[in-house]
Amino acid sequence: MEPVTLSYPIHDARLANGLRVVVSPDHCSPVVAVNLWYDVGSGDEVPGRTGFAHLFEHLMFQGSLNVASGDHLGLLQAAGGSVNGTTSFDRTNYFEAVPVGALRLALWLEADRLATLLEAVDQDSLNNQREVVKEEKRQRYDNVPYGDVFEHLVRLAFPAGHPYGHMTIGSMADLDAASLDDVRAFFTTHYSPGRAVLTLVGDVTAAEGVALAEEFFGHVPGGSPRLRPVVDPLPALTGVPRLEVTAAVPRDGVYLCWRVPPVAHPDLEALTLATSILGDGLTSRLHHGLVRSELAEATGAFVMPLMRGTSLAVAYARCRDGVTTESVEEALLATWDAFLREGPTDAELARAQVQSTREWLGDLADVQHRADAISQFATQRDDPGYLNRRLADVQSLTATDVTTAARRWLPSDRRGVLVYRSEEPS
Amino acid sequence: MTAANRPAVGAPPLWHFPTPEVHTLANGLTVWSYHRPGQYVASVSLVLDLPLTVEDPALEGVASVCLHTLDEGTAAHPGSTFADVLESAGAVFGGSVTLSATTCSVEMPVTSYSQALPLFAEAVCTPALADDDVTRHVALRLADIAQYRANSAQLAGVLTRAAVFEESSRASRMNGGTSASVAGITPDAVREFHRRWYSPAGAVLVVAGDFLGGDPLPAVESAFGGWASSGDRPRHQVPGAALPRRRVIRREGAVQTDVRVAGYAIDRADPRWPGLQVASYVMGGAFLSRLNRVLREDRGYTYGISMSAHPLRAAGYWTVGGSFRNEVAAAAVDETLSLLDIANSPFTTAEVADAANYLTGVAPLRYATAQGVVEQAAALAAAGLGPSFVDENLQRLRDVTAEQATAAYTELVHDPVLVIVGDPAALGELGQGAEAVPQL
Repeated sequence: MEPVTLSYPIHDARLANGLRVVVSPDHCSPVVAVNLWYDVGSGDEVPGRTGFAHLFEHLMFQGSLNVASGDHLGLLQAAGGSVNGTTSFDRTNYFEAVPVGALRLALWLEADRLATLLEAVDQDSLNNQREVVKEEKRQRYDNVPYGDVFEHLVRLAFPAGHPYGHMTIGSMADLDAASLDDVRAFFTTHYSPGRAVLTLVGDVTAAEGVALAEEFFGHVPGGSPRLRPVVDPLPALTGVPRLEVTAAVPRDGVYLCWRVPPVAHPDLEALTLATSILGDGLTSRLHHGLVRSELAEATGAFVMPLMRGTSLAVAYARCRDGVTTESVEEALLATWDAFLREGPTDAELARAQVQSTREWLGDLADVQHRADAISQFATQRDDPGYLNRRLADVQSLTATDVTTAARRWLPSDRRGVLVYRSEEPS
Repeated sequence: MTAANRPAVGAPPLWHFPTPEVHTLANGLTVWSYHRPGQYVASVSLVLDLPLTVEDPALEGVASVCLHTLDEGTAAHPGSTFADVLESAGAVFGGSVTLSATTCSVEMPVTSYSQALPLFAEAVCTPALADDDVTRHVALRLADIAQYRANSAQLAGVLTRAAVFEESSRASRMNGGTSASVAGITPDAVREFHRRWYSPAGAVLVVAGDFLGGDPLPAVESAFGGWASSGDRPRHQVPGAALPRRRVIRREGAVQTDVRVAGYAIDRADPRWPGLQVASYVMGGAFLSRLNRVLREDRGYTYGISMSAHPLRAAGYWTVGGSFRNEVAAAAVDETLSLLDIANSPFTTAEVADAANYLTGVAPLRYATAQGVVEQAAALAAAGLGPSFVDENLQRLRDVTAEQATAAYTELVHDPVLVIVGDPAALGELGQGAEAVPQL
């Protein structure tokens, strides 16, 4: 079976002020996706100010010199646009997909907040969005069963003070402490054309896209270029650190984590295939070893790619009623160790590769995700066109590559363990 | 750059939901086929005309267990050998059970369409439904129910539907069955359910993708042409409305209160449907909706509050939902109920125009992918509607007046049910009459 060969057009340009502009025309539908990646995330926060990158993302929707609070979203929705922003450890992205007739409006709005946010942001909007973000934290994490699992895994895998040693959502105390001066300093340090990528995907030509970027962003002062602090890779976990927590959840769970290499490291795609073979779908080894064998309700494994020295790999299983965490951890490890010992079969590798192909083609099927992937590769690899070549890289990996990477990065004695117990004995 | 030179928005381009090629196989199966250039993942959904009212009331959930066990092995590929071949084709199997239909779905790279489609047909037409697999899926469904019970937002959602529809309606209970009914489901019951109700008669198969110059239909003929119809034809039920009520569920220690306000409403065929869609968007769909502008952007009470209309095949319901920190929950409920009363503040022409622009403007994006087209077409098939409904409804949305939106809303949004899930100790009067989390 010949895989689809991708050839999405990529036109890569840079304005005089440093803004990188990537245009990928696609005239299948009369819409354009606008995607801005700012090279700042919660990994850039300083102690005592956790949650700030994300709080700041909220403030970017609270108006700028020529835009009233809420109108960025309001005007674009009224033009038939779909709009949002998200913050992670490594980046903050802002995006909208709009009918072509609203493209100029979208770019004008994005440029206005980049150029003039500080002229509009005030204490009232900070106070308001601080409360909104605290509600978001309660709704997404604090009031949800297992909502703090990831926070515990982060604490197991990363030392305090490490860029990834705290959650992007931050702490209530730090959110309370955020001041307007912090907002100003954060914007001045992190938001400038030279630290952003603007990607346009959709019903626009390359020449039009670059000209529009110049028209709306060309006047924004350049600011300082990004000097990404070098973060050394962390050594593997040793001594199998364990954390046990008890909470009001229906079933016990076991979560394992590993430190693995950063984005663009040659081993990372091989590790992604390894965790896919172990944890994805009805054919996966963990499904056979834990779910089909009636020990677990659910199981899985994945790699979370990160930029600063170290990424995170996770495997988990939620216990069936009456099954102990000890027996589930034992079965997890037995399955894991067998895989590291044997490596993948040819069929397993081929399956993981073709599943990865479908997932990647699916990700790129809509203009918004395609634009986000282009911004990502421009930021992380200085190579926006990598989206056309990623499949070939994944297809070229061999069973030896996967086994070698898994043995190097995922041995069971290099894991951390989170045991999550139900308050009510099952 | 000033506010004065804010760019005007150009007229929306003429856009239509794609028109499928329609075929009917000799066994009654209808096929809607969409060629979508540039869509390299093919999406396929088979919509079975299968209302949940056909389930034995003592075994509700049997439709759901049946669906989830389909890909655990087939006559030709027993046990896990089925997943081996399906996943090796790059395919992923899924599906959903709604009140009116069971929908089985598969996605695969277009290059493996002809390899994966016959396997999909095996899962649908000749599944093994082996004892061990059924028993495991019964246990997994019971585990899911336990998770629902522990999750404030999910619990609120389940109890809202239970409060909106009268108890005799299947719509008042979870699509996947209750813990009591699921516990009684046996492998024989699942196999009998499949034999009796999985049938090409009345079913619609929707397929979309870039088939690279090929025709997707011959593979459908070959995979599904031999599937024989079962004799029984189901009848659909119109759910009834319950009396308005207020329900408070105790979740001790909860740091937030989930609030749902809801009521009985209409389906897509009702002439008020476009008016209700527009009204729901103005009240609680837009970021700057009447509710979100006040409760989030002015007060900071919530991450977001929304209103939406949920059409069933017959009738439907509307919901308003949000989560609020405990100390402001009572004030948030008061303010929500007050904003929902539009007696003195009918919808304006400007609000209705913005809503129509949004609802029609997002269509090209929403339906740009093969998956987006198939999901929408399958939802229409499940509602007994044809694929031309999207365009017809878009035109009706453009034509809705402020008076029509206000009238539809006023007729449908009144005397709501109220569901509160939170810690009554922190809620004062709002927490009165709290009951323990019920069994689901």
